[in-house]
Amino acid sequence: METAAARSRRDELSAILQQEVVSLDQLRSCCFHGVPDELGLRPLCWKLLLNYLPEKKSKWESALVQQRNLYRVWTEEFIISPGKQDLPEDAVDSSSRHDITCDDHPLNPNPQSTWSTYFKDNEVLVQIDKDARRLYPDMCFFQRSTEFPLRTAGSDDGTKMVAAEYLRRRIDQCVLKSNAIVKNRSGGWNISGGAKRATQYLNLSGTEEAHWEVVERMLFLYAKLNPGQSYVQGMNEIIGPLYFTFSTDKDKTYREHAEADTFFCFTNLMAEIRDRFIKHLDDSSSGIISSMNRLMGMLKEADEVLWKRLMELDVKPQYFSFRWLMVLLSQEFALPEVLHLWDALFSDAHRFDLLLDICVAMLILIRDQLLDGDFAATMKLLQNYPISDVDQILCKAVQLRRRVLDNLEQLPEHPLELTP
Amino acid sequence: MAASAVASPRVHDFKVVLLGEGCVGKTSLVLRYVENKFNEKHESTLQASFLTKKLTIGNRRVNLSIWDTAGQERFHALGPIYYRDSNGAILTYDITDDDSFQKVKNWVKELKKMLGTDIMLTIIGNKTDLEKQRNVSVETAEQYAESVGATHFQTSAKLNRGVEEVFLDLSRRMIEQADKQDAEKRALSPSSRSTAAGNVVLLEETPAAPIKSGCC
Ligand SMILES: Nc1nc2c(ncn2[C@@H]2O[C@H](COP(=O)(O)OP(=O)(O)OP(=O)(O)O)[C@@H](O)[C@H]2O)c(=O)[nH]1
Ligand SMILES: [Mg+2]
Repeated sequence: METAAARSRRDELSAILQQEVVSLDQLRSCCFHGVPDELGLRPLCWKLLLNYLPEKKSKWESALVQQRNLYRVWTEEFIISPGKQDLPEDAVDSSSRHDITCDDHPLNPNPQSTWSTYFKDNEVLVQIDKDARRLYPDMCFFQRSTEFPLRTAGSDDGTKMVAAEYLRRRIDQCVLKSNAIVKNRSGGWNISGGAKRATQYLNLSGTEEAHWEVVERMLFLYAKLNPGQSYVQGMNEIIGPLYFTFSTDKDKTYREHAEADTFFCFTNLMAEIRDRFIKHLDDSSSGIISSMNRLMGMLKEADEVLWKRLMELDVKPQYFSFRWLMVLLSQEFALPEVLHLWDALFSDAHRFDLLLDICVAMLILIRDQLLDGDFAATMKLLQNYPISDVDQILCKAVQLRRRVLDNLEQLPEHPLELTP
Repeated sequence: MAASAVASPRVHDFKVVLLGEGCVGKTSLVLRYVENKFNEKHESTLQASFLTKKLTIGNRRVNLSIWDTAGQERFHALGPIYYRDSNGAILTYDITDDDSFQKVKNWVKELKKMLGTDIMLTIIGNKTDLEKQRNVSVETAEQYAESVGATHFQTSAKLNRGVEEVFLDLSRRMIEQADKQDAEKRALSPSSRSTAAGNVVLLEETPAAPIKSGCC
């Protein structure tokens, strides 16, 4: 059933996207209430809202070509070439797996050597691998093979190999390497451990890639290009919904380039929230701790009784809001709700102030239960948030925002307005 | 002697923290213990999750508050709020991954430094169903555990092996420790015998009977 409001919003959105120069302001106020799923416009809206596509439509084509080529170059440089150059020839040959424990360079770390960088990167890669495999375990999407695997001119005979194969081998090898170290310490020889360990998991064949492997590749590239951040757990939860959205685009060409497009949108998004991921910025004004403190301050303003109760119970904001704020609530709701919520988050002109309003709204909406419970009950509620109706939460958040603005006696120049 | 047998049933509220590298199976262990569930895959833990479990040991009732923490280094700095005031810690490694065993050693060092000997330590080698891929020998792990005064267990959250025992043994030791602390406190200030250790509450008031330590 489509309400009149929904229909008019849909028409409005189509009209906005048809303009030669898309007005970001208009797009924001329209998308705030959610991009209707059935139109298939979410991928396009997000690309605009995340400043990946320019407002001028005439520039889209060239921007996309340029970025997608750049992504190609980076995969070649950081994923495929290191796999070819730094390793002995037969290590990237699809027919045999080279046992690098027989060579001495992996155990002879010279900080200048490419081997040293290579193995440092491998540690990051192993970490990413553990998380990428566990991404959205309730959905089969990430385990499925992709429609457009990234192919490379792989081995000498010219057969095309999927890019994921390079990372698969690196992961196998660095497990071998860590075993090699155990071997030195204890004097025993247990070379086969790593190869066996890899069989803990099932990989696809050499001609296919799973969606989670694409996510893994993007996260690894991001870590390589942003050594100051590298990989932090939680980034997987940020990139997951973006990639899902782009790789289920109704448009085939967009689907084909979902990986590159996701990568740049993720990079743009991270530029705005990355400080929350960086440990040494925890206490800075843009770090996670000050975000949590702001949240608690806002709660105190909006509902002092509830705030007091949480204080009395010693329910620290870290216990629940760390996760809420760090991964933009992506772990609190099922994916369709997360996408809807992110429509609103990305439409916030003051990103990500709205996120704090939403968190306060989430607390206030369950205040009666919170005021009733002991520490354990409260924690359980906050960790398994009981409301799944995102619209209800957004309405409350907007109300809160309005009240603050009214109190400040400011005109809400903000595009977020409550539809009657 | 008879007095201790009729001593009022007590409720112990214990806080237990699970620490260890990412992906060693901390969440799987707790979910197995608390809900008797195992998922082949579930998302990695961000920061920490809170769970509870009630159990009875003899005439003691135990309420466990369990903090299942995130493994990654990034969350380490925020770790103290979870292990502070803990009565017990479960340090987990994956028997197929030697690095994860080294991480356990780091955790032991940190806990000893921050909390001294007040906290009961249990070291677990998880994933024993992957015995063929073992990279940490039982002897090494047991020797190490003994050297730091920890109990060592081997578990498989997947096959539900050894999980119950871990929490039972840890709870017993936490009770002993609480009793010991009670006794010490009483010895220090004989007048205040009813205000035992902070984490022990009397279920029923039996002011006539002196509360005897159940330990030894
Ligand atoms: N074979 C086997 N796999 C296990 C066992 N316990 C856990 N796993 C698997 O190991 C992976 C990681 O388990 P988690 O419980 O998420 O690990 P964790 O220590 O909580 O990880 P973080 O939350 O990232 O710190 C999952 O895929 C589990 O299914 C076990 O006993 N045997
Ligand atoms: Mg976990």
